[in-house]
Amino acid sequence: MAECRIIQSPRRLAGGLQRADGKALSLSQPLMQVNPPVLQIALPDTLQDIPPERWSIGAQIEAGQPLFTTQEGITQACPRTATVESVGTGKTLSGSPTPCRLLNLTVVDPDPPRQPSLTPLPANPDGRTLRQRAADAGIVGLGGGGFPAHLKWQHRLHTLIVNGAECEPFLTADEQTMRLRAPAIWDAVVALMSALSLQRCVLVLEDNKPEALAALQAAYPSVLDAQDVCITVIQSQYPSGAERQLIWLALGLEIATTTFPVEHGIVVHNPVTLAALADALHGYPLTDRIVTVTGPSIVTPGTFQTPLGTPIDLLLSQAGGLRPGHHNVFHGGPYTGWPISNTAAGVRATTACLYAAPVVSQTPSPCIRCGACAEVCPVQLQPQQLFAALTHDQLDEALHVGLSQCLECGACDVVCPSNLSLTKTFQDGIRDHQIQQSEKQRADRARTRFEARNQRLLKRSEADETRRAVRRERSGSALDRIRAARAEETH
Amino acid sequence: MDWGLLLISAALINNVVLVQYLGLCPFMGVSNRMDSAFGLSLATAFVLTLTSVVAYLIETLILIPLDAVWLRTLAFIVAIAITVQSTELIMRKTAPLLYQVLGLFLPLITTNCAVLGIALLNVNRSHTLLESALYGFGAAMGFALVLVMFSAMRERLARADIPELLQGTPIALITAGFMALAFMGFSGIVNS
Amino acid sequence: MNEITIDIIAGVIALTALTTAGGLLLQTLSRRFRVDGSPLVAQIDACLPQTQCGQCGHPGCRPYAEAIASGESINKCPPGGRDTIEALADLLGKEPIPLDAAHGTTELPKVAVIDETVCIGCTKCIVACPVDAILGAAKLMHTVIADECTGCDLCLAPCPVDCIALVPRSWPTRDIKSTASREVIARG
Repeated sequence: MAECRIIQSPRRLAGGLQRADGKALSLSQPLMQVNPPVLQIALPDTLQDIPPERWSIGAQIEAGQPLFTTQEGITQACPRTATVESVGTGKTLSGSPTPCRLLNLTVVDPDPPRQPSLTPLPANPDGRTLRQRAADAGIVGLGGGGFPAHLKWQHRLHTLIVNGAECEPFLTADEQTMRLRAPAIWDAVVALMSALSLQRCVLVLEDNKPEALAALQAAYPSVLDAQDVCITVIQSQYPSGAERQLIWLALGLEIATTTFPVEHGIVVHNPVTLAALADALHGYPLTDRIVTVTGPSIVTPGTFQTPLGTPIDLLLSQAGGLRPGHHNVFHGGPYTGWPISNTAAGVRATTACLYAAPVVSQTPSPCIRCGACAEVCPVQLQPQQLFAALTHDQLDEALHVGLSQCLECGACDVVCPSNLSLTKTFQDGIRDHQIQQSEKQRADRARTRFEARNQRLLKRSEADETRRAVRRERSGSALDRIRAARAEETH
Repeated sequence: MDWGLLLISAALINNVVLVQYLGLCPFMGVSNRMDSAFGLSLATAFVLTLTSVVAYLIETLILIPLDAVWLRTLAFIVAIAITVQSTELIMRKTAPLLYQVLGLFLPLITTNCAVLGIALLNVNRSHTLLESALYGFGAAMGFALVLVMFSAMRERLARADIPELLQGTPIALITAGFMALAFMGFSGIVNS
Repeated sequence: MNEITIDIIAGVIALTALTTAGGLLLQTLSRRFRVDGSPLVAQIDACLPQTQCGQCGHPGCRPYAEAIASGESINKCPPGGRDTIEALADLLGKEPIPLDAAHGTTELPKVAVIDETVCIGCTKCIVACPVDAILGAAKLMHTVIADECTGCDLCLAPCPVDCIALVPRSWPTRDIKSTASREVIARG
């Protein structure tokens, strides 16, 4: 066991929330394995390849075999040995009006795959092998972002930050992973540092996770140099786990919102993602994930290791089900979660938490300019100004006061005494801005093509004119000859 | 003559818009947006200062020697019109975007009673050339200040939940009234 | 002559002289500070949706922008709709007015689709497209590049076998949740 350097970060977020974190609720039980009898996998809209004929009804797919590859190169493996029940369209998790394509599977072998379906890699693979393996194993950001990991590694990097903050209340998937799979996390760190030639790694934890810290300390591998790899403990605040906020708390660096951290050589990964990467290096693609099922409306909250595609209501019943009454089930936590309208849908790679709370109808009342929202904003924006601008259709003014910097963390919603849905307004505003930007790009492209076409037609008509002029010169003499010949004839 | 006091008096204590109630047209008309208000206030400030000097020169060099003081109003208006038109021509070439933003409001500076008013006030108070220039400049700065402040407030008001009855001009006039009240406080600077 | 008369005449002459001098000054300045062309047209063009459909009565968006700069009304663009009218009103300091229904109605964005089983490869639609969004050659398959199509519908009329249809474009909607999707959309 090697000595691990632990640093206490002196920095705090200006703003942010500090509330009871509710994490004890789901940590009261040990992690449970869930093996469902059916799986429902949502298919992305655009796939890189045409689904193979093994998707015919009744065909059996082995656990670990590739199901599909997305346009970004992520290959999703079949979580269990199962037979295809149906391939159709159905409602999405969020209940959006666009139906999505679904693959319904009946599980034959409920246990997780015992054999690696990819070739186990030797120690310290190089960068290209690592990227290919992450793509083949379907490694995406498992903290909830879902961004393909291998795309982050295309940049020149020097620092890896492991985001063990898990700042949102009630979520405990990351903490469970750090407690139970600390050696795997360190394995992935070792592999990444050698493959991407990183200079240092900082594993960041909040101070409310002492058991996880102890587990990580205990598993710290001796191959790592304590000078380059350390653990930093930050004060527990929401949202300390947001990428730019985390980098500032851990390293003291401010990254502008117009650039991504990878462009500055810093890559941030969730510990669950790293544990999955370690499995991938041993030949196991991403098939299962830990989901926290928690909230005031859940009878026995807990954390569950479950295959991707597990129907959500099955997971809820594993946690004792919902209490009597009207409840909302959120995909995510109490601040960043969105309501699930179709609970028969399957768990995705981005489903880190299912949070259920009683439905509380809160009618919003007018903004009283109390300023509480500005106090908690982690980016130090003025949510009341943004809200006023957006509700009066002044998107330009909203952008001027910093709409594009909003993290959509939801802290302002929590403290607003008038129950205004601030975050939703900002999300809609950001969405409108993006649509406006893409519209403008289309319009610019159309204008360029239109002008280019006009130029081309002009050039062609000029070329035609020149040719006609040359022909006229020649044919002028030919016409004379014809005239002369005719004159001779009639003569 | 205390130049500092002259400037403060022209800009704040006897503010053209809020105390003397001159130049209310652009004050209400152009103050919807900060950028157009800022541009117009600069243009008006320039015209005001220049006109103060030109008017003094016309009064002293042409009207008084020729005993034609009765032509003062006409002559001043002619001078103002020429100054405004020159400013417009120069601005069209040198600051075309500002020219587009201001559009119709540039020629309206000619009929801005503040410009004529300051020119006539200079005559009434028998200012010297330097005093006229300073008074014109001070009044111009006061005009610009109030116009910019008012437009900033109107932009904020446009995002507030004003009752429908009062939206637009009514609440703007009420706000202007409050600003005038506030500016009355400046009169305590001098013991008259 | 009367002293007063002399005064009056002197005053009038002085004023006339002043006005004439001023006029000459303005004439000199207007020649010195002459401005050619107008950046306004480019600004107006930037507000238009670049559909190049001709519904406004002009052969493209730029000619309409030039017309607007010369005083034409701003409510003739159906694809631009309310947003374009408001942007133009903002830019020119005018009041936004409702769309002139004589030029069409604002509809959801559309994109042209060619039915490949019917297409005969005549290239008439390729020639008609103002933004060159149709790919193909004589007697070979024609297809619409969906990303470049502006939905102007100028290709429908020339087609002799009526194989082109306008279908609604699937826009990004507000229910997209993941950062990845938003990044994909932001990357365009």
